[in-house]
Amino acid sequence: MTSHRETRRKSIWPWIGLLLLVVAASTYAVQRSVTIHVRWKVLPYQTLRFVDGARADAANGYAIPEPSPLDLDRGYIEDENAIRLHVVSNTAWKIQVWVESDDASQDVLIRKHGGTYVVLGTSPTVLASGSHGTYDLGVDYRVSLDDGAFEPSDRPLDIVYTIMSD
Amino acid sequence: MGSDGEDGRPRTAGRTETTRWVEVLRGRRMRRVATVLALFFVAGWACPANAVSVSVSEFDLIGKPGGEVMTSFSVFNDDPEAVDVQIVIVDWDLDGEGVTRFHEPGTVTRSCATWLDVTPTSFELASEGETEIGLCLRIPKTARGTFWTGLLVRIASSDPLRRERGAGLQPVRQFLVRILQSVMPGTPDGRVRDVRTVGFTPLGVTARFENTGDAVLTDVDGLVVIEDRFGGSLAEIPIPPFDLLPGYAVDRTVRAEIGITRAGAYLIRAVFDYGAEFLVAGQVVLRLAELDLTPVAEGCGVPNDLDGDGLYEDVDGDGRLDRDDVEWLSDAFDAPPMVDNARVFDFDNDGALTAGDVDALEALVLRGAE
Repeated sequence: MTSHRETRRKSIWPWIGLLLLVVAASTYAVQRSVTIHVRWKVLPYQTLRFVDGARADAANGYAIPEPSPLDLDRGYIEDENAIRLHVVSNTAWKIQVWVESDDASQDVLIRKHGGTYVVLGTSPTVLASGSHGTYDLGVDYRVSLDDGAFEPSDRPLDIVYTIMSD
Repeated sequence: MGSDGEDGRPRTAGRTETTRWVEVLRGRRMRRVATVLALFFVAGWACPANAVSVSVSEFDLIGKPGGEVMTSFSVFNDDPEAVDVQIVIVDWDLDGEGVTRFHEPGTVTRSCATWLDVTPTSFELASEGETEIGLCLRIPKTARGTFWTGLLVRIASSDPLRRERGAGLQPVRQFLVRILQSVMPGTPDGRVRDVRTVGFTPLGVTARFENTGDAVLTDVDGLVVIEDRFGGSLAEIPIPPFDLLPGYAVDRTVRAEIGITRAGAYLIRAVFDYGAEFLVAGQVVLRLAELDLTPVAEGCGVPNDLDGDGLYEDVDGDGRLDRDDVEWLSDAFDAPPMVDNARVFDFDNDGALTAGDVDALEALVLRGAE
């Protein structure tokens, strides 16, 4: 009986030794381990598209329509969604507009569809802005018919749409 | 703000020019692949019209005094036709309304336009084409902190006949690629310059924060705390994060969900965290006097608050909200009973008694009529 107990005691020591070895190896491995912090940043990018409207060919520009009797009466041509912009940005963005010619001062008004008209001048004005994502924006034009007003039929008026991070 | 990749870091002085360009081109290749994939996944739709993209709209570069920083970005054209691309270096800053203003290069105080070389600056980009633009910034040895400049990338039709045929209003696409170059070590610093109320129903607070250091401050956030005279917190309103260039100030307006109309003393504190070891704060004591309401004109009653919201809509005191109240408000606009108790007639909640309040009261009457 005694010898059997001793045999069991003897047989348990290798297992205890093995356990200690595993614990020691694990501790050593933890001490030797290296923590690597991986930082991942996505660069901000932007896409700007002009999408054809009813009277706007994205490449050829917006052809101002002939004034209707209503337009002649009120003194201006108003065209909603004259041109559409498609914006893709993975960061907050804004679009500023201006013209590079003084000829059109006070004669052309612009707004994001549903917004408030602003005079298109040589100083930039914010047309639209947004957070990251995909946006489809309509742009409305109001062109004065007053005597002496700018006549875009003479030559095209460049309207510069500049997109940037906000 | 974005961050540049590995090739945006300063180079060690011992490396040869060839080795550096090889590394830059490797980095560009990786970036090009990543950008194309990103554009493909995010912007992957059928495109019926002109589309031009820039792969990076803002660089946030880090360098050392006397060092060089090289990086690049790409312009993509999936327009069915070729386009002309022109790249111009500009300085830019922001006005108080958040409009980006453009200036001649080298004219803004902390401009790095004169450090920058860009290649190429003018080229034709075929349909489905891509061109890589290389940037190299040579940092002066004395520079410290954050400097900035920008590139205007202008897209035009490469067909001269098209321009002649065009009439009316010609849209021109342009991208601003912002370049912020931080030269280590910079000194971030900030101050709260002003705290003021803007309307009381609900309470609005505008805090002005200024970047007084020489480094751009990113992800600045804050909190507006409103306490009563005994230190009890009435409201805590977070200020959304923002970035701020050195030397510039920004106004941030937040609104509480509560209105403050009862007479008393209130402490309004704006606290900003710009990442330093300490926070900066500014505070103002708001003292609201007891109302001293009298009829706005002979024959009228004392104005009433009909719904308990702190605004006295019933201007003529007849117990009703109607067009007469709008007319009395308009007529007695600058009368002492109105001016002395302006906060209860500030219907548009802009902090001042103006014509806008008449319009706002009229809108209330119209809504009531519906």
